[in-house]
Amino acid sequence: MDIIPAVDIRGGRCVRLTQGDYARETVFEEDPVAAARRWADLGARRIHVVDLDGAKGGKPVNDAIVRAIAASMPCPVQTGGGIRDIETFRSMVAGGLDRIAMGTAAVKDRALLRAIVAEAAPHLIVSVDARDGRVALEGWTEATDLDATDFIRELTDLGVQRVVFTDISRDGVAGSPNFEAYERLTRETSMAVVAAGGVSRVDDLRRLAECGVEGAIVGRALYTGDVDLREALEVLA
Amino acid sequence: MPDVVIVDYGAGNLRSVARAVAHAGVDATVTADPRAIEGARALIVPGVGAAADTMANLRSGGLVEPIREYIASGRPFLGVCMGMQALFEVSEEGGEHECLGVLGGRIVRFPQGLTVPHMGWNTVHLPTPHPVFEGVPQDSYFYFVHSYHAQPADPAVVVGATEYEGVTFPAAVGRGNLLATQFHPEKSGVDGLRLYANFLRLALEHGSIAPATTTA
Repeated sequence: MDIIPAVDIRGGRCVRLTQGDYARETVFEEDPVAAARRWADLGARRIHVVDLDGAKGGKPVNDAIVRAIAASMPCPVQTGGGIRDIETFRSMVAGGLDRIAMGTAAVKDRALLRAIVAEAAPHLIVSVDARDGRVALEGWTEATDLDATDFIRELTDLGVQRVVFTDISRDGVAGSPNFEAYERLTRETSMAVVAAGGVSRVDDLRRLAECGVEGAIVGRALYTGDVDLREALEVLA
Repeated sequence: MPDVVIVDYGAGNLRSVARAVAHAGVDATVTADPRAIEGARALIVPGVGAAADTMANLRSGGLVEPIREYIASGRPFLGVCMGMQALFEVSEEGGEHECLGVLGGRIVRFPQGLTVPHMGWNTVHLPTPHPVFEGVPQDSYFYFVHSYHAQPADPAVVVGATEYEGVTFPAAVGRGNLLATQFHPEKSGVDGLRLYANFLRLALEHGSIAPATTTA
């Protein structure tokens, strides 16, 4: 299982949000490139960079910093946040980003999703936010929420190869990931699942690995020191 | 004229390669100027993308002969990903595309049924030690992104091999002062950075990256 440090960028700085709430921001390390390098130097084999301003505004904002991180890390760098059309997708991949996470656009515009899958499925990650095994998806269906596993199966049928699955009720709060939800996804679908949200201790990562997820994005816990990256990489080696 | 040249032919992963070289404490020039290639003491040809585009760009940039002549002169050369595949005679990617023909053999697709591209970390096994891999443990992980792989005419050029879904293919090839990798050392963490550092140190301090016993 890949342990994937997250670097979230807002206003050009590396920050953490609590439960996705833009009003609850903490600055841990000013320079996002330095933050990413810290993780790469400790042995991270992949880094996840989120453009929070981009996610909020619907188009990339901290674009230059994201590309700078991709160019200067000695490991693959993936990103998400405000990428909502195929041109931006292509541009980011050409700019050195290994994979691109798309949430809103992938869900709302099925034609766009099909086009990106047809062109570059290995470089696409669909971001799925869930609460207690149910996804709240404005624009996907008429229903106000949907069983996560059913939704993941639909994505698999469309050719999506990989999702980042975030349980946002646990994001940025010292709790635990929703192990049962991940276990069910990996058991009942063929999707490559990357877990995100709620990792608070190295043992959470060990348990996620047992759930069969391909990777785990770790944010806050790395920056507070609750998870020591080197130790985590050794435990899961 | 610069000592270390990274060839810019519109390939796209230049910044990462330049960063890896800078990390080794070496000043390199990223350029499309054929004269810089002629005068270099160490040449790096990176690349991502498709064979047809790569060769078209090399041709339109007037870079084919300078690269061939540089290699023929016996000076240290490092090819990365497309910079490795372009060395062979023909690539089957998107048709039959004539490449540089520096090494005999073809670039072929992974067999049907395998997941392509091969995208991820995988281990590289060296049949015999190579100076550019000094300090890198046997079966270390490197990062790969490719759908086609080399099928060399001469098995002796294989410096490192990797297995993917049952298919073993060359992860690195070499002959004399030429070395080329299918994987991206600039994306392969500490071991990849070491590979660049070794290449540059051996090239600049000794003018040779070749193993002690070589017939090339």
